[in-house]
Amino acid sequence: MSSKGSDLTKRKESVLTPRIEQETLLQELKDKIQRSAFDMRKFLEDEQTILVLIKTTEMISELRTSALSPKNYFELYSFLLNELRNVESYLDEQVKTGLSAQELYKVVQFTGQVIPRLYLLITAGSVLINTEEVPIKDILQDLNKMCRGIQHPTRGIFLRYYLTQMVKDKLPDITTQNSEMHGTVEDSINFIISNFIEMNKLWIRMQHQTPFGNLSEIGKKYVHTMLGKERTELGMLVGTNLSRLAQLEGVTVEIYSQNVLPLILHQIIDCNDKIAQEYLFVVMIQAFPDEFHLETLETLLKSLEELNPNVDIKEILQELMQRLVIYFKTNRAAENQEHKIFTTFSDSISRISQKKVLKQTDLLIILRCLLQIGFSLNLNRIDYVDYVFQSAFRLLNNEIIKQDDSNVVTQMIQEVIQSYNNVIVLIEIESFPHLTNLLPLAEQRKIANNLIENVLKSQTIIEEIEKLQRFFNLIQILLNHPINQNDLQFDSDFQKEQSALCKVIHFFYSDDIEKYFLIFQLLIKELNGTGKVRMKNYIFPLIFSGLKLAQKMRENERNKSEFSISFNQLFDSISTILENLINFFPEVAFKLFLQTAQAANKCRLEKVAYEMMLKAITIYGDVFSLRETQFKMLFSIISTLFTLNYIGNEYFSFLAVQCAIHSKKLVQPIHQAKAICCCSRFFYLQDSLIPTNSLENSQNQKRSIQFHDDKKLVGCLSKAIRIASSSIEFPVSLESLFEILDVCLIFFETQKTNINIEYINTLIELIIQVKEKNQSQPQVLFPQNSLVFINQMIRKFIKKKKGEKKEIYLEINFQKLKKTFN
Amino acid sequence: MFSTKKNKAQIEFTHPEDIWKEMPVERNGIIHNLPLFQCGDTITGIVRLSVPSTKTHHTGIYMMLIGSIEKNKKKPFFFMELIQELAPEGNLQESQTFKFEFKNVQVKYESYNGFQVRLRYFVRLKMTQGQTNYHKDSEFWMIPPFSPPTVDTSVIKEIGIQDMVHIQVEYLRSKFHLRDVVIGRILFLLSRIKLEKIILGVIKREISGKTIKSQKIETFEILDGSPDKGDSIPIRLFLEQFPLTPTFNKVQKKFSVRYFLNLLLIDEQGKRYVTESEIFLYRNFTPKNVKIIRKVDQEK
Repeated sequence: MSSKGSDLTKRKESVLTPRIEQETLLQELKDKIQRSAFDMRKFLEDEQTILVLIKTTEMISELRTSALSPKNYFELYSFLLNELRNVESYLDEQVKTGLSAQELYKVVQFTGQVIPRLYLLITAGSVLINTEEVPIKDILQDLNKMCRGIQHPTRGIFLRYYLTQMVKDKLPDITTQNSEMHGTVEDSINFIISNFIEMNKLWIRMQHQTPFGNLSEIGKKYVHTMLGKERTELGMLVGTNLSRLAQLEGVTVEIYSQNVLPLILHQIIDCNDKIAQEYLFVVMIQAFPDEFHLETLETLLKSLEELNPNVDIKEILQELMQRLVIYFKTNRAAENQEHKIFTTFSDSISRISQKKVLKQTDLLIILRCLLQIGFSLNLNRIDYVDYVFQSAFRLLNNEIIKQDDSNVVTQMIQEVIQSYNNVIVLIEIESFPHLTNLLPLAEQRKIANNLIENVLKSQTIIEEIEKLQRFFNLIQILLNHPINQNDLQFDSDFQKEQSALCKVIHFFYSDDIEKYFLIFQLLIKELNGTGKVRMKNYIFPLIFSGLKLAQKMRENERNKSEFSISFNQLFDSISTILENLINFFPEVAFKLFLQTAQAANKCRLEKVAYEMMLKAITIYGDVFSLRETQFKMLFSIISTLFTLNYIGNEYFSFLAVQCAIHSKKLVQPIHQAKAICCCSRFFYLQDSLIPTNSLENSQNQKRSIQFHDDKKLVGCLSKAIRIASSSIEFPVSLESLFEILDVCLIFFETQKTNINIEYINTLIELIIQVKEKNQSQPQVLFPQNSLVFINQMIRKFIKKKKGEKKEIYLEINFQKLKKTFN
Repeated sequence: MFSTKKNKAQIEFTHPEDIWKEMPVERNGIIHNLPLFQCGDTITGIVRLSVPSTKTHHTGIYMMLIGSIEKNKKKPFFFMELIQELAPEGNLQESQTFKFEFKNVQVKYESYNGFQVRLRYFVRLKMTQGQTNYHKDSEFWMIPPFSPPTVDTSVIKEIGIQDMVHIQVEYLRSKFHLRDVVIGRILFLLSRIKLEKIILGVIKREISGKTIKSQKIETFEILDGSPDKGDSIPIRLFLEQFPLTPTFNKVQKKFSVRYFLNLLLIDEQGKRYVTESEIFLYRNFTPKNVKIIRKVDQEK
């Protein structure tokens, strides 16, 4: 390969030699150092100082290479460093046994090549410091000055890095003895800062001193990226100075703010280099304690504005703010400081945003940090949150275009929700809804859901109408975002969010009736008219809220005169809502009318309860009389009617008759028989006779009005028997008849109705007839069951009524019945 | 019968305190340790003269102290001659010892041992025998009085190539003693070329008549890399590490020895830029590399 030769000659010029070649070269140089080091160690043992120095010079000479990448150069440097440490400790020993350190310091300067000379000088300087013959300040100054002989970026940085490493433990601090020889902490500060300045200069020079040769544009770009990366790695060495400075105990906050920071900032700003400014700022923030930053916050933030416009200020601010957030967690800022800290940040951010050098997303991220600062300073200052939200709102200029932006805003809002974990506080933030409304639909929903979850989790009860209104403003999106009708079943999110919303409505009430009424009105205002899909969900909590209010009013009835509203008004509202719903969800409306009727009954609103029942019956008649569920529905009406203990006879009779009429209209005869049989009980209604399952709801409230209509009672039972015996197929007919018999026996027991012994025995005869008529049919199910039923009946009567009117039961033809089924 | 070839003389310098300093001087690859005297010293010694026969007649025995400038293949030029009679005309015994003493010897120039020029001091035993003379020389190194320059000035030179590089070189002083340190700096006023390094050299020029012999004594790298505008590079050069002599300026109108600091800038393309400034060297101490020996008393 003809080109190879020229490549090799070129390699001295270019940092970008291929990796393999780099490694080969690195190994070569290491080998050379190793060989010199071998000789050096030999002379070291023989204590031939001059020869040691000569061999050391040889070793260091390998650092003169330009061909290595900074990374590989670092490796070479580290390799050499071990040997140099040996040399240093040897010289240290020699000085203790008579070698003049000052003479040594001079002699090493005879070295002709500048790199070995300066490495040796630093080594000798380190030895000289140990002797305390010369003021350390002078040595440091001299070393610092002489190191200017290397202006090559990589080599210079490493030389100065060696300098910092060698004197690291020797720098005077307040803890060290204070004398002319030992120097003061100011000497250390001056030394480190000037070394820092020089290193930074070299570091920045790397960017400009790049051998590009004849590279294409793409090549140049590649080289730039590569170098940028390697350069960044070298930044660590520059940053070491700042860390060392921070380690000095003598660098107090006063010294830092008056002497150190201005110098560092001046250097950082002055160099006007993007990478350096970004890196060093961050290092500075990391290296020095947070207390220092707080003390110098204003200066620090002002200086950010003076940086190169390409600098990623966001990164720097984020670093600073996040550190302070952590700091404030364990160290509360003094109360009088809190506000100052916040405003210092907010003012600075506002100035920065006015300059429009930052991307919108970055500014939002910064605002998010500001928010966290606000939290960490004082969670009670919701004006901080408001400020941040307002700023973000203004910044976004009424719309969010980018996904990134909306992500940040969403995170920001969610953090606020989490931090306060209290909706009562959150709704006080004026700008909350403004900012939220800028977000895309999905995000708005997410946030509204978070708020609702929060209420549910913390069980926050919202009583104040203004707060509730604010809350509704925040979750408005859930009430009105467009719904994809086709996908509704699959939109499980929608279902979840709506059911959460329904749950949350239960938390809006007050023990104060007036307040509660306002809340209820607000609920109606907000929820009514949200469309039928939503209303289907909301209607239950909404109506229950109304009913609960009714209950509360009832409980506070004594003060009734003081309420500005009446029961009628309340039930009118409820009724109106339900009526609007009939066309869409008749079933729901039907159930709720029944519920409302019960509630009205409890409030002793006879007429209201009656009307509600009527409405339920009307819906039944209009809609459900033709459906399969009709029987179940009718039974809901019947069982509800049993509980309405405050309805007067006139209304009750009407409703009972309505039930009976509808019972007869049922499609299946067996249902007819069952229902009519059940209705019969309306017509001899005593407390003891109200079916137990209905009593559960009435809670021991006794029916105030007794009702008895013997004619209708007998009519119902007879009708039931007729249907059972003629229209129902065997053997189901038997079951029906037994049921009727059971009811008849209840009435018989009272001895106050026309259901006498004849009536009972006639029915038993009928049962026996039916049984015998169908004797030929296969009896799969009934014989045993019938027998069991009969035995139960007999036992019940004999056991229960022992000694008491026993004779009336004896006349019942149980035995005959039993025989038939045996 | 009177063959001068058979005359033998041995010259030894003596010292009242028996402390001797010697100066090593290299000639044709051989190191000669020459006795060292300073201006104002009294130079004393003894001469042992052996003659072939007991009755050797002479017309006078003299001791001379000569300062001489010698150039290649040219007749030496004696710029200084002191003479002292050891014995008047007469006969010489087989072997005889004479003492000589030159009091308060004053010299202006230091001995010099250059490429083509030498400035030598020696004592010469001279015995005239009729038409023939017998000579015996013994060289020594002479140091004139230290006279540090009373006026010293810093040197500031601005040099540059238009629009490419412009530097200001500053040496704090221009006159140095032989163990001095050259201190200065290079300030970059403009730097548009990529420098690779700067080397500082000490150049010695021996001028005699029309011939100039230059010698680069040593090179000393003072910069690695390419500074930017505003950078200042320190110069610190220890002269004691180099074999230097004082500056000689037109000694007896015969020769000069001058020293220059040579600053060489090399850029990345290998182009070189040079600037030179003369420095004046002087001695303010007895040479460091002298041997101090105690001479065994041979007078017996």
